[in-house]
Amino acid sequence: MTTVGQDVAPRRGWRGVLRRYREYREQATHLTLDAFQISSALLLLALVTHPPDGTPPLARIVLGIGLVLPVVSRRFATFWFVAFVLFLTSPLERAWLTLDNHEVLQVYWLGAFVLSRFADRPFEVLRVTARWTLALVFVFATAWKLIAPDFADGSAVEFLFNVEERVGDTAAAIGLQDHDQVADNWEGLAAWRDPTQVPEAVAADVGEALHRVSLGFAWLTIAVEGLVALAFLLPLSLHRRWLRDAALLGFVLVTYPLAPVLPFAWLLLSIGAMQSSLTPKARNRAYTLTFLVVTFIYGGRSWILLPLMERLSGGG
Amino acid sequence: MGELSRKDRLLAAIVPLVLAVVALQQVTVALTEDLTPWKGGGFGMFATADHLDTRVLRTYFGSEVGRVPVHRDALITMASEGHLGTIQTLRARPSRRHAAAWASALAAQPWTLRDDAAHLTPSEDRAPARESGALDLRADGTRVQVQAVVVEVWRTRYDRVTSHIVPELVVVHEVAVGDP
Repeated sequence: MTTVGQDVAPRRGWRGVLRRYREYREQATHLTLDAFQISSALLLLALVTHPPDGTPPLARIVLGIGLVLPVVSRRFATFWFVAFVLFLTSPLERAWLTLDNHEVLQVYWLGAFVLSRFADRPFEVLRVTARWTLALVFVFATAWKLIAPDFADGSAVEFLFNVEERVGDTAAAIGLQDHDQVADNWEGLAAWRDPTQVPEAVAADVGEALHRVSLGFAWLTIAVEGLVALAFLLPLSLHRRWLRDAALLGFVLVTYPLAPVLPFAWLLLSIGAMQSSLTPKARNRAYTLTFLVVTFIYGGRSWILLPLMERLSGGG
Repeated sequence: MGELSRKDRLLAAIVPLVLAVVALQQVTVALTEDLTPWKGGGFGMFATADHLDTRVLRTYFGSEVGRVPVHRDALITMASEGHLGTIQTLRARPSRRHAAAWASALAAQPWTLRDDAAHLTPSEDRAPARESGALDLRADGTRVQVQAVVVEVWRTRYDRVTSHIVPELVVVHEVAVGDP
């Protein structure tokens, strides 16, 4: 604010621009995003950029408004109702058994935002919901890896890295498998779809390195996911709750640069930021940095490294 | 940060409760009724080689001339013409009800017998009216009556010791044509 007689710095020219920049930087330094802002921004980003197939354009527009204008999603409870109803039309229209887990979790977490609007203390309600949602997601993910007949012995990991194109690309990118071998192995399954022939077992070409690490990788996955589940299940004291953030962020950092489901990473970060017990500054830095690292590594792998490898191997 | 009120505690619990109930139900169905662990809201993705894309649906018509395989191209066409959800649901959870839904979708199409396989009749050759509820194959001016739709769903197993990808028959359903 200026008063009469006060020395007023120039407002025009490059000095004015510099002054305004310094003022903005000064304000930005003191501006701290709260958990709701980070969480809702990550959720809306995941929904706008990776909505379930068949999501109506209107839903994306409404969600996009909430993303670009955070004041709308913060102040107007109606925003979440409208977004939820519009967003739900797609999963309801599609067969339930065609939905991926991250699409189901998107619906749950969006529903949590709607429910919190009925609460006396909406942010606290969201914080509790976030903690238990993450606990259950990792309990069931770990349980499935122990129940499934082919995970604990390393078979599923070896198969996915070796045959599944989306995951196999990752194995190829980190040198565990040859890119063309993955495509050839997948091609071996195509004959099974011909009903005039009886399906027969197919020998897969497995990289030696992949075969060596698959069992260890399977148990590492079980251990990491199990630790995240425990961190969220156990009633930790306030001083130790940072372990939850550390476990979740560690999991996201080691998993999602490789796994082909980036929106799931954003969704987990959205839920994680909401329950975080870190100081606001530490939370904002940790979650923003993790988001950036995962997104850039995933992007570099999917949009630069793999197309380059495909080109070098003559695949187009 | 004090205790939440009873109403707030209830609101906070709704989503985790729904998640737990759905996921428990998914685990139960997957273990008892061949639902793929990857689908159904149970967070079993990446836990097994048995997922939607590695399950194979094979369909046959049981007719007076024997078992006639439905050509793969016909399935691809039907998937692109609005039946993808039916096909994926059947592969994800091959129950008798889902097999019956697939049989109904097949019965609503006109079929031609060619090269020992059933093909979708091209739209320009389709007859203007079909006998209600009947499914038949047209071949060289004759009609072959179809009595049943036979559905097979196979899943993929991987043998890490021998590095072989092994097909495993999950279920076979035979649905009489005209069954509800």
